[in-house]
Amino acid sequence: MNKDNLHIDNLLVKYLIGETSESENVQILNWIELNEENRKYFKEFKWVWDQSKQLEIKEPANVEAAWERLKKRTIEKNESSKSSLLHIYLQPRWIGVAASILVVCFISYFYLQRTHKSDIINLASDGRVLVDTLSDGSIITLNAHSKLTFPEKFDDKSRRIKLEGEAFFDVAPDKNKPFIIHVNDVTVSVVGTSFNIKSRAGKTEVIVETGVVRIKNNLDSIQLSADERTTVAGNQQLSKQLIADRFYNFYRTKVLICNNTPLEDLVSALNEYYNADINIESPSLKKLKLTATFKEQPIDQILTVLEQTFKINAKRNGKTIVLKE
Amino acid sequence: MLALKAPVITNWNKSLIFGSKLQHLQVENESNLINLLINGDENAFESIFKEYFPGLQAYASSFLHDADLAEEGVQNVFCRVWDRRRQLKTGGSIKSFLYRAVHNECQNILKHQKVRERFNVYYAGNREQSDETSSKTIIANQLKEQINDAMNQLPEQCRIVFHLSRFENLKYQQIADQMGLSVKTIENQMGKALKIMRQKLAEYLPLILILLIC
Repeated sequence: MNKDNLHIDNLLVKYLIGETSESENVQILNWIELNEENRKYFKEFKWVWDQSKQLEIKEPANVEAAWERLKKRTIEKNESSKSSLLHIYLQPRWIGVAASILVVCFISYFYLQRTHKSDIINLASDGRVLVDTLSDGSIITLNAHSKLTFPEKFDDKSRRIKLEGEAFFDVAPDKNKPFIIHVNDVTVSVVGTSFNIKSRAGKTEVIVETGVVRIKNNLDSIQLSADERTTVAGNQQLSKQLIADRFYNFYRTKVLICNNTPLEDLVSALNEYYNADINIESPSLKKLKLTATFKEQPIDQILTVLEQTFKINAKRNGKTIVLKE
Repeated sequence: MLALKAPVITNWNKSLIFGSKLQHLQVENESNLINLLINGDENAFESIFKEYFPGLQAYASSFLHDADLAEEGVQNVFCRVWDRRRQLKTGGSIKSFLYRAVHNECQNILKHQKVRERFNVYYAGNREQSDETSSKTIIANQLKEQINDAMNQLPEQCRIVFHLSRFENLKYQQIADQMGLSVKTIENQMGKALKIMRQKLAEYLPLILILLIC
């Protein structure tokens, strides 16, 4: 049906312009005469077509004047800057200087290429969350008050990065060039995965989202798979746990997902991410399970939901909030 | 589109020149112009500008309702063409490239300027009825504005094709050749243009009767 309509529309316009062939003429006239609805449609088309003619711009353009104006903005602009430079540098003695400068440039260019030197980039976020893409295609999300140091172009054997603070890494796969992150005394090496590293107050926590990550400190090394977490503090043996929730993603996604999550875990997350001071009064309350998703909601709304869900009271005492029966 | 080389004049070619190959030569001329422009030939730049400026300015005016602003928009496009001449690609249609660039430039200008108020002033200047305030005129002017809006909201290629047909009075084949498109595409774009404009103006269609009766 739609294809037919398109065909009719095309023919109607062709007819209005006068470009229909003999057979097309017959075809469209038959269609118009077929019923009242078709006649009306044709009249409407004709009306739009006729009316549009009124929108014609009748003032002729002054091309010569316009060209003069354009010339000033383009050709003449180039020429004036060109001539003054050329005038100076075409003096004979300058040509020798120019030639020797060129030679020096060539030599240093080749020298630099050989030593694989590359600019070092420091990426520091102050109060914001920053996202950056590295030269290999890896994407790094840097949390507030964190810093990354890496070369503009990675060398041939590995991709090395230094981290202070917290960042989420989405590493582009490259079997031949492991991605290595140095954070405090810990080395995290991966091939192509996504994971979060948080380093604060001497403790380094790594959570893997996809893929496999190898973590080393001076004493031990461990391998983490998806949904596993390890916390390194000083020179100890490494161990891993399964993650209980995905709150670690909050700074990136601004979403808190609770899936049978104990209330005390949610409260810790709220304290950390919203800079709040919430205490749970009774131990039984702490273990209450919650399933909910909070998307960019202010803390007051979240507290109201908690109050209603668990029939509890959130009592404010200055900055401190106490949750009780 | 066409792989073009400098024509070798043999006896055989000479006879073709006087036949239907004039079209071919016109396109070849255009390709030469682009090559010259890429190499910084100022005369080629001037040729292209003078050829297309009147049409482009009219096109821009239909969006901006101001001849000076329209000229500025078209000039901006040409400045960029000149600045980036070395990156120009051969083998396309100059006209298509320029109209699309002007179309986008107008969208940008519209985003940053309050153009609507100019509509009445601009069009009122063309008609003798600037002092008349009969309700029929008011309705007619508002209607005109609505039609202009409907037209300006057409998708890019559709809008350009419609303009070339309605206001440059080009035949379908001419539009097809100049834009580097097939005649079928032109037919489709024209059908689409009228269909969309009719839909957008649906609520005003009953008004036709009123205007015709008064």
